[in-house]
Amino acid sequence: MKRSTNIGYNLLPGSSLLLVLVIWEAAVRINDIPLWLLPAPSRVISTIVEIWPLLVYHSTTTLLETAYGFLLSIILALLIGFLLDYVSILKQAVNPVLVISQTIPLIVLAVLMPLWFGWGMLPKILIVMLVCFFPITINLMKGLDSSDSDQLSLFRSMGAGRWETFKIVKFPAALPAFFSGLKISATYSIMAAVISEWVGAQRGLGYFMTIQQKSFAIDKVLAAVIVICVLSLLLVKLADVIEYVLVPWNRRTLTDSNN
Amino acid sequence: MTKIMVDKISKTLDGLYTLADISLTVGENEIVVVLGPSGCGKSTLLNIISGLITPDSGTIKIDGADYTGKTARVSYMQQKDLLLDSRSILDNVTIPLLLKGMTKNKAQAYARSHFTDFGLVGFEHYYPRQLSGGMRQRAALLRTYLFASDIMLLDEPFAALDAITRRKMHLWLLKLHKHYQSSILFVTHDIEEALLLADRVYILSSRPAVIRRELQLDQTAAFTPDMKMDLLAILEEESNDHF
Ligand SMILES: Nc1ncnc2c1ncn2[C@@H]1O[C@H](COP(=O)(O)OP(=O)(O)OP(=O)(O)O)[C@@H](O)[C@H]1O
Ligand SMILES: [Mg+2]
Repeated sequence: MKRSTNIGYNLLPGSSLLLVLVIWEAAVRINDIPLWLLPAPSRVISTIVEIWPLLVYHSTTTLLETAYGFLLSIILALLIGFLLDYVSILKQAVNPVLVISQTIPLIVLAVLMPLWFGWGMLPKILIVMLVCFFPITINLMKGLDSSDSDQLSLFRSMGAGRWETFKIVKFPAALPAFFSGLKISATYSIMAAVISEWVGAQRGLGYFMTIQQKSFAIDKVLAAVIVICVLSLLLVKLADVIEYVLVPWNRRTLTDSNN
Repeated sequence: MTKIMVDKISKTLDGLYTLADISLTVGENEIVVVLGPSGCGKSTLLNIISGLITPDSGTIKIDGADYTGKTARVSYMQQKDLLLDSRSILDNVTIPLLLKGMTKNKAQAYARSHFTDFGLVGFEHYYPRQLSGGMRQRAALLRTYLFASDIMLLDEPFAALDAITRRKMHLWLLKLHKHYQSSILFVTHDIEEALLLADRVYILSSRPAVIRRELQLDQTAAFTPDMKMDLLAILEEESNDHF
């Protein structure tokens, strides 16, 4: 996660991506691959432009589901984190449940959820939560545990209560870990919503892709894929920006002098 | 007048007999140095005086009142500076004032009035990780001072610094002590440091620690090489058990 000032490092990821696209484009043209099998990148891009209103229409639904799921995950993670930190005996009881929740095959739940919660947004939001809350919670808990025990005893020696110690020492110390969890979740969150829509929905990028895939409009499927990638990256970036604002003491510009 | 009275303190930590019947006093405006080999229980002694842990037997009296096992009376600076990464220097040093219920504005104004003396002017809004080791120690010392200025327990506060910075900090501490007037109990395993700072020195044995020697130092009289050799011999003898 190093932000390098070196121009070469900034160009490198971009140029490797460009290379892949060029090879892809050339392979499609040279071998005359039919459109229904694999469209060239140039075709995918022109399709994006062509069906832009449709993509926006479905993206809003997907984004809304993701946003709800993501925000609820954060709230849930904070609640669980606070509670387990306060009553540490609970940790042993809750930890296995957290881990088991992550071993359930996502696709099975995505199929079953509509049976229980219908075809609307709710099952999608629940799937997003299932994917997102775990990395956030685990990282937050790790962060809360990471505070220096001498620091805690210093605050005890100054007569600070539990809540004050939590507020002043533990929670700020946990924020960097919390944000790394947040960024992991942000990466997967939109994908989770899409999987859930794929199984059954009336709107959303996942739903759009199933329709297009059935009629072999691969260029439209790939157009949606690109939108998903871009949205996921933007979400991670957003988490980055929020971290930059809320955790000023951990900014890379501060540490650069030490590295 | 006696500010701190440590009376017959014994402590066993995890089956390790650490402190054996330690008694010492710190008078008003006095700098008392406890000198002892590494691992003999110096930090444990300070933990007990600060009330963080309770002794197996014995009592701690502060200003004549029983403070055994009670925190929040004296200020305590531990071996590490323990500044919070998440707060600026100003916000770090005002924490004790805020904990005591002072308003933020008042606390900041009061803390700022000490920044010159503690050599921190201009660094109010820096984060701890942006500061040098000496500055961090001074910031930690200011936080300690702002919590309780009359009695301070300092646990090897300068041990992590390089020799030149450490010497500067010694002179600075002595200067500071002259016009801030507090009773200081200073722990170290460095003889030079002890001799430079102390009005009185207690020398601890290795674990279980007992007081081997009490030494009244007259700051005006030169310290004779003989006395120093004598101290070195005691420390060396006590440290031998560890090798
Ligand atoms: N919480 C603890 N539980 C059990 N043993 C401990 C604990 N803290 C310290 N000890 C042990 O007790 C002994 C005394 O520790 P203490 O930290 O008081 O020594 P010290 O004189 O401050 O050492 P140093 O010079 O290294 O700071 C050491 O042998 C240490 O390993
Ligand atoms: Mg120690």
